[in-house]
Amino acid sequence: MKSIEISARTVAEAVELALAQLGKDRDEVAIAVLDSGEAGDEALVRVTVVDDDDDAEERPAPEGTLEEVQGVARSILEELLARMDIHAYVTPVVTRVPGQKGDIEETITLHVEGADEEAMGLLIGRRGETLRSVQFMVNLLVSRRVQKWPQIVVDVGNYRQRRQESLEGLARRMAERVRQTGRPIMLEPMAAYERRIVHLALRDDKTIYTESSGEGENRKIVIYPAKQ
Amino acid sequence: MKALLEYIALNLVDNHEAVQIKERVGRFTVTYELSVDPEETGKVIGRSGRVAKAIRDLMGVAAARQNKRVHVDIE
Repeated sequence: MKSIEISARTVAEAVELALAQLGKDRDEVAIAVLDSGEAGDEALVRVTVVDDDDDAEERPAPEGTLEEVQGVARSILEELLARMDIHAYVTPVVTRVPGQKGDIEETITLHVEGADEEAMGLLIGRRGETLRSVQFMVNLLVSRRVQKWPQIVVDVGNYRQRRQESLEGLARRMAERVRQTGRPIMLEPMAAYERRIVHLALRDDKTIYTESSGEGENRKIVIYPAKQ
Repeated sequence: MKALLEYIALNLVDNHEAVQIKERVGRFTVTYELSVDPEETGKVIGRSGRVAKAIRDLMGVAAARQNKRVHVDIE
């Protein structure tokens, strides 16, 4: 098996360089991060080819290329919407960000837009609860169709972005209050990805720190004043 | 509404012949009984009922579009 080691400024860059050099796709190699490149060091990765070209030809049709997954995801969501009696346009957008393990995380976002505000509101549901179920169902149905579990985000009328901005605003206002009163504040229960938004929004604020407490549905964030 | 449940169920399980959907239409509420191959019930319920919840949420939207409530039983 062919294997190369490459260093670059970040893990993601190193991986991309290695893939370019090998002429391989992300799903044809195994990636080991030898040095994640923190503390100013260069990142070092070892990329090993797992599929050789010979057996690549024996593999079934390239089911699961990103373009294909995108098309499948879009049509599945359109099928679901039509059967919910909702008229809307679905636009897929692909984003690539470096993942934690040094790979490139590809996310397909399906943007749903429709003129019927009431229908869009139903799709989102209280606090985005229904939207999460729609997203879960799309991921599940797509994964059954293409035999892998891609990361698909469903957004309706930019709800996710607006929600993120409003959570970040809330986080900063509450942090300010904690700073002024010197007392911790407990926020409303939130879903995991919403808590993550709040933690990240306040990560660089050294005057306070955040923690989650409680279990399951009841898990919520507490903002504490920094210890003196 | 039934078309939505049918679409989801058929795409979640392998044994299509065993998929059965019974529909009872009331004045305000529509009740569905979904049954699949006993071997495949897990696929329509999911870990801690995650799939069942998603099915019910989506069916809830379809029902609300017709100003109805919906109840989905999965066996």
